[in-house]
Amino acid sequence: MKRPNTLRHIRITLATLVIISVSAAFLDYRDWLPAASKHTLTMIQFVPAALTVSAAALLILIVSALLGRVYCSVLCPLGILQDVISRLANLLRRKKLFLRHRQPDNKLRHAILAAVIISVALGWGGFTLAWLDPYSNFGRIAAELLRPPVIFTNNLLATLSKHLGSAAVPRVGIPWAGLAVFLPPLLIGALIVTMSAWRGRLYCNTLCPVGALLGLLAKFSLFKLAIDKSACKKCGDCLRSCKSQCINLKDGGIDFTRCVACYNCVSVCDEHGIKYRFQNPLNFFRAKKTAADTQPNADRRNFILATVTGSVAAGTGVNLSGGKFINAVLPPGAQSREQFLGKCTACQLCISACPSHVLEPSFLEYASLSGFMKPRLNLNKSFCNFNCTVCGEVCPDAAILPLAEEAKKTTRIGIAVFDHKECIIYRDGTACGACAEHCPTAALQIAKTNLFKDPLPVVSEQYCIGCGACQYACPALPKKAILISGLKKQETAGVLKQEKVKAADDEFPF
Amino acid sequence: MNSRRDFIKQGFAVGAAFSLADLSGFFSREASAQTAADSQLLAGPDGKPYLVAVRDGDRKAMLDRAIEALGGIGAFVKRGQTVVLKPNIGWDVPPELGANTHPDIVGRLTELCLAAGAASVSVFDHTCDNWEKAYANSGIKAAVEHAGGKMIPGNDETYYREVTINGSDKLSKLKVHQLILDSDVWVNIPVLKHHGGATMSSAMKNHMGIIWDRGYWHKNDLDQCIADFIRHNRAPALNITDAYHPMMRNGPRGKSADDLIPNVRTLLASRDQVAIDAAGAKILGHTEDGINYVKIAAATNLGRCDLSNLQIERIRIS
Repeated sequence: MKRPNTLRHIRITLATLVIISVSAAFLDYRDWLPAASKHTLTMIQFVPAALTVSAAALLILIVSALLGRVYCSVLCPLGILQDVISRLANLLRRKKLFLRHRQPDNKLRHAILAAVIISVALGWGGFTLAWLDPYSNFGRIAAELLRPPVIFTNNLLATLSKHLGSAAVPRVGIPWAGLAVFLPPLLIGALIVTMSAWRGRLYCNTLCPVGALLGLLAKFSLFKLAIDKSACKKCGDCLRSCKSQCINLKDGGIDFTRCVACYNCVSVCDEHGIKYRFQNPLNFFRAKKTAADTQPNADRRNFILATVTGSVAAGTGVNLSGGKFINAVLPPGAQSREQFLGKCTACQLCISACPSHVLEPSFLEYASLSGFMKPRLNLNKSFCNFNCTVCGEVCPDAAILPLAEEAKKTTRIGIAVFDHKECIIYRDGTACGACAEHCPTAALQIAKTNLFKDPLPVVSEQYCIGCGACQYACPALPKKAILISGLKKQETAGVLKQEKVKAADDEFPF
Repeated sequence: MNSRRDFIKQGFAVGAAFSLADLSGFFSREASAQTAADSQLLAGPDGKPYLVAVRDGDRKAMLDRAIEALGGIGAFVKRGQTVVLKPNIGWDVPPELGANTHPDIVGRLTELCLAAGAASVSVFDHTCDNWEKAYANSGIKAAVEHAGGKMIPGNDETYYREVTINGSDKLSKLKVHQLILDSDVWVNIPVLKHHGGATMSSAMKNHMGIIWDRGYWHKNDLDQCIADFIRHNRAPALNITDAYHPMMRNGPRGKSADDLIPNVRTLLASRDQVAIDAAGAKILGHTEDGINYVKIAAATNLGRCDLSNLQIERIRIS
């Protein structure tokens, strides 16, 4: 007799909603969803919430300390994705996979957690979290692996609709990332698929630092899932349903640090033998004391390992460039290279949401391993729309701060540098002005100079915000005549003040 | 001097009023008198004015008067024809900044074409800013869709087809938006603006929004390319220039409403894109052949920039 399991149904319903909405935030290629909604959906993820010290992080910690790792099953998109993959994999199998109990990989997961915590404390969380944050890993899989085929499908529909004589489906450019940036999500994606298809939630209990952290809290949870030994017939149904391999029927225990609170075991137990039960956290300390006496000091070993790993991670973030300018142009609101690379976890949400498609994942443009996969402006491909503030609005990490439209319009992210020798006007003696045409601040004017008989582009640096419209528009090849130098630290530009244009005669001038 | 100018102007105004009132049968003597006075001046191909300039009304009213003066919308759009309108929607800015053609004009023209029995009215531009944002923020999408027209994207190369331009100096082959090539009628609806590269943007410059590779023009003598393109065999049936508050500086994008001449309140209409640009040049304070590409185009005899030899109907509303 199976009773309907409310907890499991609530979990599945919430998880479905979460993965659909978070995926939608990354796959929305027509900017249908408001930027604010993308922010709200992602800022409640644990790492962004913890980095911004928001109430959501506290809530996740409290829930974990009360009920265990509910976050991992209900809110974490990478966790839910793994459930989807395991389920699909089982559908393809003739015989359902049977995962036996497995000893925890505590050294590994605690070492990774310690390395992450130390690196964050040292200011290099921007490097470690960019690789290990589950939410950001999900973001990259969605943005780099799933988005292109979705847009490709849209374009197939566009071609079809065009042949049917309708323009209802417009074509959208497919944002292929460079191979170097495409590989990490591909490899991590392959790892996730493999691990989840064959070992359920193994990733969450070995490599994921959030899983490890919440696992530590779950150890002290006030309510834990536990097997009622008097009711248990050792039928093994719960074991079969457990994706974390954390039920040990021999001693009748559930390793709650690895349990992701999916409640599958609760629903399959015909004896109703698995339930949340109040646990006095003090009991743990009493039991722990005796165990620790007989075992080697795992904590100390982990700490040493973590310190080494943490230092290695920190060392990779060494700043290689000097001076005011850098090779990469930071998104407006990123403030400075240091604060940006320290906070951004490379989730790709801003890149997916950028209506101008000017943001691209970096390779080595930031001259730091911390900059890998993080957004920068590719001003040969597009430019930063003057009145757009989307990247700062969506960013869940506060790595790009939200700017009011008026503040954005004076936020200088770079400075246009003009090289007259490459300019069409100077080189060919013909009119061009594509750069001035696009300049939104009138910092760039075509004006008389002593370099050439005809007026040339002239940049008034004090008004330039570095949006790159001029660089994008410059038709000179192979080398553009105007290029943006990225600023290491963003500045506030002045606003060109001009008199109102005077009224004309009230006559027809012809 | 003033009085003579006024007298002539009043004469035109009276003539215009009669022709508009469609009472020419009753006032045949007056009508013919005007024709006699204009006999030295070049009229349009159907005997209507070569160029119409309307002042001081709201945009829709000025458009209605201009179209009427050119023989009504039926002179351009026949029942069952497909129509494409090409306003300037280059920029993601609101109408009051004057960087795009005003939505009232595009919306009203959509209505007129549909009322004339057009099978469909499509509107597009190859925008500079993000096309969906520019379509929305310019107010043109709302105006066109409200009037029953369709907004069509111009942001992807697959919408463009290669054409050959014969007898041109710089352009030989280039890609033009399929709507321009496939529609029965196309109407060019620029906004008059200062332009950092080409000095002025209006009807001829607006053609850069129906082609794919603008960079080629910028690279290969912009003025010559703009002028060469009037040889394209799909010329607009009609050009309508929005000169309500022309942008005087920082064009073509503009920085603020301070860049606009506040009181021009003019709308121009002509079949000849060169003549309408010569008139636009005068409004911006240039001579009629003061814009390089206008001068080059006029030299081909495919358009006129000698305004004093053209029959111009000047209408002042209010």
